[in-house]
Amino acid sequence: MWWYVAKRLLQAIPVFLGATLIIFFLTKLRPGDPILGLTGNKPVSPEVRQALRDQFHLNDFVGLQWLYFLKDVVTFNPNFVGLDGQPVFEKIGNALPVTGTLALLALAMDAVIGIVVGTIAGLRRNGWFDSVTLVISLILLSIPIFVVGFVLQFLFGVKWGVFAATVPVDWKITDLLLPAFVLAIANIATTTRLTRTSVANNMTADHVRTARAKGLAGPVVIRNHVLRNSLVPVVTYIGINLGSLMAGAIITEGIFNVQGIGNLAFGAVSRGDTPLTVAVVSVMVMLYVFMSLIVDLLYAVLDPRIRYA
Amino acid sequence: MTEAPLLEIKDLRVGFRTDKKKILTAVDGANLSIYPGQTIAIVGESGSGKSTLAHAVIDLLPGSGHVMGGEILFEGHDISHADRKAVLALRGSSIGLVPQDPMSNLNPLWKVGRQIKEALVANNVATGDAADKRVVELLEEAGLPDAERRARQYPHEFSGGMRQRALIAMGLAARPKLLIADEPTSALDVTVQKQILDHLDQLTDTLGVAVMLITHDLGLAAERADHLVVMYRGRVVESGPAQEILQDPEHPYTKRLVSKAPSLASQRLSSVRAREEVREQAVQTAAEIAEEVAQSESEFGEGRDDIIVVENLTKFFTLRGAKPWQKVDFAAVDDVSFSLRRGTTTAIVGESGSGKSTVARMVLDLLPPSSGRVLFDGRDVSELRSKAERLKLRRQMQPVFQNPYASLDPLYSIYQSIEEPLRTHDVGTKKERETRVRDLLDKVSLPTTVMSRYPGELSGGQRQRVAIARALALEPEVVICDEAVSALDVLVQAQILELLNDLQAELGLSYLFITHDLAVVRQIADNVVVMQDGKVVESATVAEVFDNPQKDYTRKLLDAIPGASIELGA
Repeated sequence: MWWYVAKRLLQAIPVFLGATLIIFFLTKLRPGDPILGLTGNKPVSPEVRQALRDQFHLNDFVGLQWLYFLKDVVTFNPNFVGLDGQPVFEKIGNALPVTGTLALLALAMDAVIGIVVGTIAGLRRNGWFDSVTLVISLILLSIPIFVVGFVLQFLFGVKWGVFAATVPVDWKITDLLLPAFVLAIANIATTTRLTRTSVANNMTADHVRTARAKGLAGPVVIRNHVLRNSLVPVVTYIGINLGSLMAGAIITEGIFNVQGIGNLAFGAVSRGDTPLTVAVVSVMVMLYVFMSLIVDLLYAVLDPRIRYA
Repeated sequence: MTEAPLLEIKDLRVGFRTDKKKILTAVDGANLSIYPGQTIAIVGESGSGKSTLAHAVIDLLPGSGHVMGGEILFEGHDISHADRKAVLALRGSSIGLVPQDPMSNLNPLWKVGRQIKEALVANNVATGDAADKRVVELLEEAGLPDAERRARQYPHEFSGGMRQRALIAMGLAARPKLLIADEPTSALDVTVQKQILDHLDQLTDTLGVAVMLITHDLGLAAERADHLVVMYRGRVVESGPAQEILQDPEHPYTKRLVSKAPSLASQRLSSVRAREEVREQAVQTAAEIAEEVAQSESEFGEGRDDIIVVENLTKFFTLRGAKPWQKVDFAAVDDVSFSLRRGTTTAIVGESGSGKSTVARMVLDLLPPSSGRVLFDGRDVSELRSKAERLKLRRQMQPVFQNPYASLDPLYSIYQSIEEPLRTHDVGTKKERETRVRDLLDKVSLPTTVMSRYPGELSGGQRQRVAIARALALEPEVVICDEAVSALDVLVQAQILELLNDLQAELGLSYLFITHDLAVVRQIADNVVVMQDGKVVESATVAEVFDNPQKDYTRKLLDAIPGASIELGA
């Protein structure tokens, strides 16, 4: 298995190089002058402009700029700064904890609510609970995240004051509960449907009938022979979700004013700050690669038939 | 017998709700009794209600199935109307089940030992370490060598036969008085089937367990049970002592079963004579075709007597070794040579894993051989370079595969399925192709009304006829049947074999017939190649193989044909 892990980690290198290269070129294609963005659209004298362009290697060929970027990233250069002159690593380091916590909270809500509701629906397929769940999950899936976000923010944050409407810079976990739920909503609906189908399929599996024929009581059959078998595909799905949760965080963080990775990326893109944009997106890409490795390993733990070599 | 019956089924009716109002009756007024220690066999084709009957006894009917009337008396108590708790108490401890498909009936995520232990714990036989010990004993008892290590393994580390042994251990774990064996071996090779059934016989004899054996194979039923119950369309049409039913069947369905089941028919001289007639005619027709081929310029091939010659065919597959960077070569097919004469049938026989299907794929030019060559009518198949020549080869050689459920595209109508090869090879106009499809359906005895239907609407036998029609669409000279009848009910098997024989006589076809079941070989083949572990063990005519087998392995295969020891009338 360690051979497999090593292979997968080695594969992360070309993924990193490819992703940064593509994003680097894409940000360069973006219209607008980064220097103007930097000075807040005030006119800049040609000398200053020239000095700034030299400092950020903006006069060099794009591929060369990418190599400069790579050098800074690989050596973890603490003086590696974005166009605004602030150190990139420090900024990411400050933003990562809040987004990470947000995503993990959302993931936990997704797993707990999705699996519990989905299992009940699957065990009583076509019953009233199943039908109600189906309708609710379809509604949740079809409403855009920013609508749900603003509505819940207004209801819980402003009108009833249960949660803080926005997340302060010195956040506590309780401040993140509402944003995490908003972030998780679409995933919860999908996880519920997936769990429900998986449980319902497993209920009619041959080995479940055999387990009943052995004389096992109903609850034991469900616990030992239905639930674990049903969770194999669900866990895979939930794990991969962490990536989409990080991406979805851009909107949620905007709504609740969370000073996280999403906000950072949004600001960097709108300013045309290539080094910061590429650095932030690379972090997301690496997290995604890492999560899918964890999910694949978890898959082997859950299902003994899977062997990696 | 003066004893009270262990299980008595009286006028049982079981139905499935298909709609709000509609009910499909699967078992319609069945009666039978089983006495302690007795083995009875329920025989019938798929859909006859035999499995439904068995599942009704342990209250495990799938989906909307329910008992609509009648009684199921176990030791005098009606269990069809008993409450859940009472039935739960019977399951495992009084009535055990050995299910049909060993591949799907073990939970893939739990160790085998643990799954058997569950049965012990649930029925209060043993717990903890005592249960672990008992599990090993049970596995040993079921004939699994190295039981202690095996108990700690997962189902996917077991072969089919081993899994079935584990399921037998599970069914007998709590020492039930009645064991329901639902087609326990129909998914296994014949030799493994024999071993397992022998063992099950011996075990239930020693333990005094009554057995309800459910099977579609009359030969097997007669060999294993003293009492037969024949079911047809939900009804028990005949029941009585096995010998009596075989010698003197009364119901027309039983009569057909007795005369047609390949395992029984293969012993009859009449089937040998019938085959000889087919062959004579086929060889003659084939010779005429060969002459045409030899003279024509455009036809593929030279018109030789041996249409397919396989020389020293070998195939290596590269497998992962013990270390991740190591590779191991595995010889799936090892130096195989044989030939197929025009208008005759050569059967390749062997157990699963013997390499017979790999040979078929290489002959079809779907898999490149590692070494050796395949000659089709004098031309080396692997040396065909141009696309046109390859297409010509494909026209001359068509396959029919084992599983008619999987080999037809479910989204293609029957017409589209049969017409597709014609379209691919640009044969005729649209009109002509339609006429051709009608002809083909007529040849395989299907009504032209099936043209607009889809595979899902047809039975297994009908689908296999469609697959045969599709194979014949391009007027091939060779048809390669890879387990073409193995997935079918015995009577349907007999019909398809007859159809293949008729077509051979009429069209002068040559068949390469791949099967694990020697029983069907006698009705269709002229020469037999017996394979084991990728090698040819014995290669001779059918008569020589059946009457005077040279190798132990061949003898083992012959012995495994169920019902081989039964005396029959002419």
